[in-house]
Amino acid sequence: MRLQNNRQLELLAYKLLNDALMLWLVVFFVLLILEGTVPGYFSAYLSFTKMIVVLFALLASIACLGKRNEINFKFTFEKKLLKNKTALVLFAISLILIVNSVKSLNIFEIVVIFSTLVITVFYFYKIFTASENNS
Amino acid sequence: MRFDLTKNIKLEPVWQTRYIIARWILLVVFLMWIIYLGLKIIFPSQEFFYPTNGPAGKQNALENMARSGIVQNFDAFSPENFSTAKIQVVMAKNLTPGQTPDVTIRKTFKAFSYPIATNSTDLPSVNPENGIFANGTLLSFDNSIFAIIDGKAMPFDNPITFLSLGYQWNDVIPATESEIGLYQRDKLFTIDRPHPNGTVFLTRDSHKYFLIQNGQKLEITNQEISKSNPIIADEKSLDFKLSCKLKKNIWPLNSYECTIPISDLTQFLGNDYQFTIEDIDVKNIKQISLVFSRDMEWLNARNTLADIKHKFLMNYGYEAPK
Repeated sequence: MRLQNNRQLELLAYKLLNDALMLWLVVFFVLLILEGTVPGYFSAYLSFTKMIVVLFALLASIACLGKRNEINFKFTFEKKLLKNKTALVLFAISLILIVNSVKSLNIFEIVVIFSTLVITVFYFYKIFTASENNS
Repeated sequence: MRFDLTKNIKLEPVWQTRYIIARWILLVVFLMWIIYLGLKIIFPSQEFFYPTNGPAGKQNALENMARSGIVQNFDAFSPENFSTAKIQVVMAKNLTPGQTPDVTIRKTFKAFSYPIATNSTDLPSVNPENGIFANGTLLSFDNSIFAIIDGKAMPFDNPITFLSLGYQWNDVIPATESEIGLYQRDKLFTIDRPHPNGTVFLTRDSHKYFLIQNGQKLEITNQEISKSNPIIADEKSLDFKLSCKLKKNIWPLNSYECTIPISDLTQFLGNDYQFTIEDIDVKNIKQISLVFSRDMEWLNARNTLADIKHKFLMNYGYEAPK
């Protein structure tokens, strides 16, 4: 009975940590976008380094509890990427951050950076889909 | 809350109820943290310490501390205006019973608070002489602005420092590479540095001109000097002081504290908040901390939001630095 309670408690902690991670990521991304638009303003009042440390602490706790309770996370690459809502949100945030960070560069530099980005993303896509097909 | 990241992990009904309650608590804690963060950004405070820990604490250091005697003077430099100043002093041992030292504060420019000189010295010129610029001249080169001080070019650390000292962008003279190359580069011009020799102050309340020379302030009537883009200051700022009496705190041990409402200081120009603690054994002081804060008022919130808007537009090139 006690063992069962302990397991339930750890599962509850695992679920809560996942929720905390989600909230933390949302706040972190919003602050990153705000910091990008008004550089130096928000980082004067909070430490992004500490936020990243907390992020890793949450991830480590989730991984540790997941391992103890044999919760397996199987990575499956979503082929229909654009139909996945989370991927769409992440794509939009990434796009805002990238566009904001290259706004002060000249057009030639932007073309080079975006070409490299597209090639890299395509390369990773091929690697993931290849490993999916092989498994 | 329907959104569930861990749908595949099923809990027993009792534990599921506990999870739902814990989830709401987590959400409320997060929201409270975000509100706290928002208030911290909209009503920012600024802290200063003595002593500080290492070079990283330099920007929060109380400056020009007296080292002996019974009057402790110190300065806190900030470009901002605040509503209150809370001062805490930790002593090595308790003050004698009934002793309540006075803390006074005034706001001005450091160099403007120099004593008035009694004798006149050679007045500098703002015009280049043989390719050499006069002391106090502001030069711009390659996205940097330099103050010429004693034959050295001192770059400003940021535009906030430049503006907080009362300089105007149109005071700056564009320099060529060879002109700026005549000067040895010096360390950064930070907010806690006083205006250099050769600076001219114009008081907007009494319409007097003062020239800064070797730690003294010389009243001048020279027309040529008067034309040289003076720094606007307030003569009344030197006499307008606010005060409070230090009272014993329960914690930390041997600590004393008081708060001064300083909204009235916003009428004066300057980046130097000058403090004096009277009737206190300076050698007995272990630590001083100072917190400037803003009241939660619509006016303060509006100022911060306007500042964020200005910085946002400036970042995307729609507005020039103020």
